[in-house]
Amino acid sequence: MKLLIVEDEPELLDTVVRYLQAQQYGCETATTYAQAQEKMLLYDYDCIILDLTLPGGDGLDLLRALQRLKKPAGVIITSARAAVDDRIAGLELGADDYLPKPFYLPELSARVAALVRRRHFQGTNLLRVGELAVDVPARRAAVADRPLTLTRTEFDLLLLLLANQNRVVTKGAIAEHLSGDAAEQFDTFENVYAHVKNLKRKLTEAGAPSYIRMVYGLGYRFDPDPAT
Amino acid sequence: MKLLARTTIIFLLYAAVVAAAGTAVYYTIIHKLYYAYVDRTLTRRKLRVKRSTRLELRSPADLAFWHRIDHNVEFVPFTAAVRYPARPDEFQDRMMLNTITGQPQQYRQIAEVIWFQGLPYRLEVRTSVLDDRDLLVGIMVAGSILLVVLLGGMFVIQHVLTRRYWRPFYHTLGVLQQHQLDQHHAPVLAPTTIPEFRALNAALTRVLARHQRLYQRQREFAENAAHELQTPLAILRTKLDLLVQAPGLTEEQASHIEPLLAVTQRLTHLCRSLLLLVHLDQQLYFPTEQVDLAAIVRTQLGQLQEQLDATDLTLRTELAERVLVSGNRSLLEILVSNLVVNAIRHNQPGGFVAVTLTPQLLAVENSGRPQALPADQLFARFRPNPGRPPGSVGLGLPIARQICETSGFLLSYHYEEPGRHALRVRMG
Repeated sequence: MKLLIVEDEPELLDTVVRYLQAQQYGCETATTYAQAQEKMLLYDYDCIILDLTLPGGDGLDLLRALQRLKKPAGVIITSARAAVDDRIAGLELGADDYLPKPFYLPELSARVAALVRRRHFQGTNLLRVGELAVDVPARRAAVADRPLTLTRTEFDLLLLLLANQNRVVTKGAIAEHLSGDAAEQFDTFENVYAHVKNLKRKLTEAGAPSYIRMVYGLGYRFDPDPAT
Repeated sequence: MKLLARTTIIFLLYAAVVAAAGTAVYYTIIHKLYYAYVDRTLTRRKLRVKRSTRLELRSPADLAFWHRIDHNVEFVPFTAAVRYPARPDEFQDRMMLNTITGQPQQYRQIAEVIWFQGLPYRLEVRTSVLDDRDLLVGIMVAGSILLVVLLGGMFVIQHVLTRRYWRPFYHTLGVLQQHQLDQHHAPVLAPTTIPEFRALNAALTRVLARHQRLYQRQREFAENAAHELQTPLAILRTKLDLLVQAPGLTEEQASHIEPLLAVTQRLTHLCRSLLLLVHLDQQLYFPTEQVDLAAIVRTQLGQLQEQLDATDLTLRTELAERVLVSGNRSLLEILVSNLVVNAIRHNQPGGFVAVTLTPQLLAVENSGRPQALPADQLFARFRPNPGRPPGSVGLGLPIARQICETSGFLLSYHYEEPGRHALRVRMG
């Protein structure tokens, strides 16, 4: 999968690239409007992460250009501006998703994965990890063909972890993924513990190895190969 | 009452008064002039008659003869019944029967005592005059016709001209009424030749342009502030996300990182709240639409279900099926969220949260402290509150209040029963 990351803040760009590269995505970068324009028009990408507050131009214009040229890339727009109309304008102009800054890296990774899945695997979309099989559009999961009954939240949690395998996903990232902005206002993560606990229990009950591990109270990691 | 109608009414009243007074004055003057003329004529004729009697007439039969020929000259011999005129020249109005027409007619008469052949006679010289009543009626009719023509013409001319001359004003008024702040150009006012409206348009254009610039600057400030604040936070958060991936991470290192994550969370939330307040304070333009508040309440309650379950609170709801209000969707979502989160936070274990929604009222009530909260301080920003739970920055209610103000709602706090706090939003 080839991604284009458009971001003018070098530290942020560096962090995002590192994280996504570790998720096996090929990453190209652009730090100015001109660079972004050039790369977007010359090459095709599976997903473009576009920062709207670019020096040298308005990110929305790039979106319009992409629409005009009917480029197949999915676009996730990030923005620090917090302006309400940005989101609406962006989505109206054909962006697939909107992620306001500051965001969690696992969240970004999950959104990229979801976008790529939507665009490339319309219809069947099966995630396989060892004995675990997840049918994303149908929202069903099974371990060695033994189906799991997961609540909506547990399923979303599983998708988040699967999009960030071998990565520590912090409790905050999980909380925000599961309940959006409202979660930010509560410090205790009781519900995060509870959901993870339930998910782990259901997986082991279905005979799966213990994929999910807690890491020092910081968060959780999905280990596709728990034996090591 | 419209301006045109006002001036027209005043015109009409003035014209009516002037017409009435004018008719009276005109009548009086005409009357005086006329009678002055008649009296002069009568006096001259009397003098001629007197001279004629001295020079031409021979006998009393001549006097009677003169009267028979000219009924308007009469020599009345003095008897006991005839009255002496009080003055040498006495004028008198008499109604006499006109023998030719058979109608009574008004006459003006001058009388004097003259001596003819040694005998006194009362000489009366008369002439018919226009009936007073006829004179008045004639003048009034003429006056009325003049008045009607004058007023009618004035009315028509005024309407036509006024419409033409006031057109720039109505144009400007229309433009102002349509004016919305978020358009990127100042409104254009039509050029006009009328100096007053030209001055008005010039002044308005200046004011509107300044207003527009100010708005743009404030908006840019809000956006730049957001960018400057959020970017370092984004770096912070993502670097921490990377840091926790470190393969050789020890438990002690993790124990330092965890509070870092929590604090970054708080800073992020604080920044978002502050930026929202900046936006609301500066009354930057928020697009409005018809929004179903009931749907928003249901969604927010759904999202907060987790928190409710975790905190051992009971949720009671009484929601109308559909409540349409005019407002900004995102702001209303934040409003509902803040109110409910506030009710969950400042609560007691085993307590309740009650949400009621009708087309006029949104009420969020919760159990809590057995004393009333200080209502005037409740909406103060960063209100110092030792009882504030962790994760709260003290901006939830101030933001809720600002959103209500922006949307035209009324937010108030009520403490009606011990241990029962209520926040009510009155819409419409």
